[in-house]
Amino acid sequence: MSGRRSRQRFRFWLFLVLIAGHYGQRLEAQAAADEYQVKAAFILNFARFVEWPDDALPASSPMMIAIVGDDPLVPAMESVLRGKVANGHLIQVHHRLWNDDLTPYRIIFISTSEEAHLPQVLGKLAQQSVLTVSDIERFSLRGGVIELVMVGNRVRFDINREPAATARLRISSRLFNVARAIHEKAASR
Amino acid sequence: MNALRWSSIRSRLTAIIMITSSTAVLLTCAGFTISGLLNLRSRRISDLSTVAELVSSNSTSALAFGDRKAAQEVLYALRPKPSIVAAAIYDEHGALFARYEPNAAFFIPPVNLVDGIHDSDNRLELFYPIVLDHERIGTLYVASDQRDRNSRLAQYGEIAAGIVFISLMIALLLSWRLQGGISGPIVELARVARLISRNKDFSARAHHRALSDRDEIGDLMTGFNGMLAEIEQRDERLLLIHNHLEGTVARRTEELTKANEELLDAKQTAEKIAELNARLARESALILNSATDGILGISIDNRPTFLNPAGSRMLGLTLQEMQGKTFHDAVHHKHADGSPFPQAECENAQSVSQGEPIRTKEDTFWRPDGTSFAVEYASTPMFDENGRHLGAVVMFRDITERLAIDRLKSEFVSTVSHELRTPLTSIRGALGLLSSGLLGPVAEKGQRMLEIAVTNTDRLIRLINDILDLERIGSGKVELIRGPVDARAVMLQAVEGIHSMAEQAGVLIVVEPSAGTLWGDRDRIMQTLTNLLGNAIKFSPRGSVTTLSGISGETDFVFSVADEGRGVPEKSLETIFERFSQVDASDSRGNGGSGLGLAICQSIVIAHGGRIWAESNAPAGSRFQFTIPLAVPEEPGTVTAVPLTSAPYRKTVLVYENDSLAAVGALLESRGFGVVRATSPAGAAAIASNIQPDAIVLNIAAAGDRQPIVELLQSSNETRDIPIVVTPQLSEPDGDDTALAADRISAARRDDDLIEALNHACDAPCILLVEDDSDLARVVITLLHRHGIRTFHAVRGAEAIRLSRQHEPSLIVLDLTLPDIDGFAVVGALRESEHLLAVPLIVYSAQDVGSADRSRLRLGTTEFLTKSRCTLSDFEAHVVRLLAATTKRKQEERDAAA
Repeated sequence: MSGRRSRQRFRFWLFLVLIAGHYGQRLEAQAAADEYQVKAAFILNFARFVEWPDDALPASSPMMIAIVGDDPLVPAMESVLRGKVANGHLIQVHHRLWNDDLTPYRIIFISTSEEAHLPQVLGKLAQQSVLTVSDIERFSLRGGVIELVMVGNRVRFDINREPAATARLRISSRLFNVARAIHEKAASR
Repeated sequence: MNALRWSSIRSRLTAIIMITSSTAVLLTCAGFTISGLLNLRSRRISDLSTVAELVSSNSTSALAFGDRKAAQEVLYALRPKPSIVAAAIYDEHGALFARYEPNAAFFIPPVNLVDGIHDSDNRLELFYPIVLDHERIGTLYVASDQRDRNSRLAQYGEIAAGIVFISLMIALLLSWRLQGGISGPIVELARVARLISRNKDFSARAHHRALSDRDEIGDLMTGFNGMLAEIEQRDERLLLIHNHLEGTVARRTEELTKANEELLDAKQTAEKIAELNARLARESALILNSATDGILGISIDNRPTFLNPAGSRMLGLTLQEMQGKTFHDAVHHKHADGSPFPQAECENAQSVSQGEPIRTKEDTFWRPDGTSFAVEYASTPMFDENGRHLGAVVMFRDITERLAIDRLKSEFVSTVSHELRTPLTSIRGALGLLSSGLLGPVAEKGQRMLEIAVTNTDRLIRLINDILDLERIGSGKVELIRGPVDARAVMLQAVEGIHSMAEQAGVLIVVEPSAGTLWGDRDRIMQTLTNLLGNAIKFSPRGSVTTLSGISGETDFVFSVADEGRGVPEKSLETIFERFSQVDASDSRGNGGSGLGLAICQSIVIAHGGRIWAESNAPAGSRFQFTIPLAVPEEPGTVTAVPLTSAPYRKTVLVYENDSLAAVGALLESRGFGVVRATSPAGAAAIASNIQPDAIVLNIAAAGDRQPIVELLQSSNETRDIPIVVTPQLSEPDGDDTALAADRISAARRDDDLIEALNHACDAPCILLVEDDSDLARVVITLLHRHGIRTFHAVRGAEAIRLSRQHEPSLIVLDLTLPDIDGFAVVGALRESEHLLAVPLIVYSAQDVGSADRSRLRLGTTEFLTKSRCTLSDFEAHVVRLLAATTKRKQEERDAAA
């Protein structure tokens, strides 16, 4: 009788542990997913505070966004961005590799997984009117336009004006108002 | 008191002006104040909106990227604007994101409320959407201080109070000066009015300068003075009238007293009259209640209003039970045969509503239990003293018993007609034949007895006929067979009929005929004329003159029979047409009249819609006159001729011949005759009697052999009229032969001659007599045999039909009463055979036949003779005439066919 009761109690605790473990994993994953959802929302807002020249983004053409790299959290970003509208342009999100053709894209998010190919990618985009965004460390100083930075548990961003001007992007002063840092030119490669 | 009144009107006018003007000023000030406050508020709102638009635009990026610090900075940019006392930014979920509170006295709502202006006590708040790229990302809150509103209100109030005070002062001054123009004259009017009411002196007048004004106040004062003058005059006149009135009142009082007394008298008289009326009403009610006839009052719409007890008993219902129904619906809703009778179809109901009197001899009323009774009723319209139609009074009587008695009477009449007339006709016929000597010589004594018997039989027949005629005509049972009648012809014929009697009496009859076509029954008119002429002759002395004349009037024809006899006493002129009425009782015996002649004449004339009367014919004798309506001119009716079709009918011939000469039978068969052969005289007679052939052919060698068979055939009633033809080769010009039956035995020389002779013999006229009284039949057959006419006799209808088809008679004499089927059925059956359609018919019966029945009894030329109304010699004459006409017509047809 008592043996049966202790067996039952064991099962109960085992169940609790399993449940807790499951939730711990889920919470962790949840935090990572939330971070990338915030980053995706940032990318959407950048599209709203930045103006492209008419020849690069004619009125009523879709806003093509590429996510380069095979970060497993890419789908989370895609789900936030898909179907949204920025300044009258319907947003379309595509998942690309670093050596794919990236010319149709006006915003390109480069995943940390592609840090090794960063010079090639940026070199490929040098003549394009494209807003490059990445959370690769020191991205804004390495020729990217906007670098996403985690400050504590909050997402902030830095802007480099030089590549932005090269890419013929006009960034709203209100975006500068909320940037963490504004660089005038790239520091070094 | 005077002063108070005076001041009262003035101060009241002043007060009115003051209240009016201060109200206007106050309202104006209030308007300005409200308008100022509203302006202030709208300025604040527009101010707030501008600020909100700016700040929201600046805060989009901070909100989009969740940068609280940047948002805070945007809000702190409001610091130079002291009117903004608080501001905040909420994120898209409505949670507070950034805040700006320079003044701790104002708190910020923790969550955003509905967009737009919120007006609280000391501040004006605005919630404003923050939109990025058409997407709401948050809300901005700005609040502005409006505690200065109350201080502004106080400021406005002070200004308004100043304006009101100054304007009141001005109004007081102005009104003090201006109201005198209105109050002055009124005060003056009041003064004069008081004066008059105190002093009763109507000579006072109002004086004021406003009198000369052309406005209402001037009119009022002038009118017031005019009124005073008028009242003064009235006063004087009133005094005069008053004096006059007193005298009048005294006089009138006296008159009234007198009138009162008279009224009292009149009242007593009226009471007496009412008592009298009540007695009369009781009496009339008693009369109505005791009446044995039903008496019913109905209103103009046919509703019953009164019903006496006798009526209630007959109808089996009371007046109450009839309520709500019309009289027609209550008792007259069905015809006598039980079929429904809607009121709309009831002529009587309509006549009653139209106020026409009606009289109905026989009708049927229904009781509620479903039984009915025969009724006679009359309705008389009721009118009040002004001639207004109120309704009608219907008097009705149950005539069930009377009808039963009538029925019994008519049954008696028909029995007498048949049972008495038929034997009398036989007696008369037999006596006639006997007395004519045709049946053999009678001893002289016997002859005298026979004549007495004939005369008295005639008289008996006449008497019976008269009685029956009178009953039937009088009760309307005999239908007149009306048609156009030539007055001249009927007069001449009547005189001709009575001629022998006149000659016997030595009376000269003068006729003054006049042309005219009457509408009536020719035989009946003739009967009337004959009756009147007979009367005239009977009562005229030898050598006197009786005149028959006629005058055609507009609608009637007047016949007149005037004699020079002993006349009718003045007192009897009226009663002479009554039954059995003769001037003195001895007349009937002396002149052989039944005493019914004039009564019959009257019945006939009345049935025709005419009039009959008697008057004295100065200097001696009497004049009888009657009228018959003239015919309305119209197309003469055409009689459609019945087409005569040749019948598939074979003539039957009995051939009696020797075996060696059988060729004749074959010849006749080849010519379409039906041939029956006989070889012995006895056989021939038996066959002839049995089959009644159309002709008998004797083909026998020796004349001596013919004699026995001819005698045999002649000896029997059944065979003696059958034509006999003798064959040519053996016939000899032998006087003995022809003497046997001169007109019945023909001798044929050759074949064609034989056929022709046979045809001729077959066409010899024959008559079918249908009569169940074998005595009368024997008399008729004897009568016709004298003319050499062959007669078939049938007792039963079926036999009559068979014989007609077999022999195609030239004429049919038909009695209507037969043992099996009646005469109508016989005629119906005969009509089905085409070749019988044109056969002439004499209906010879004891009954008078109505016109409807006559149309059912028609074959070819059809005549109707009533037994005993027409004598046997008349009958004989008719038969001979019709036969002659038929034979002639047949001859013509044959000629035309040839």
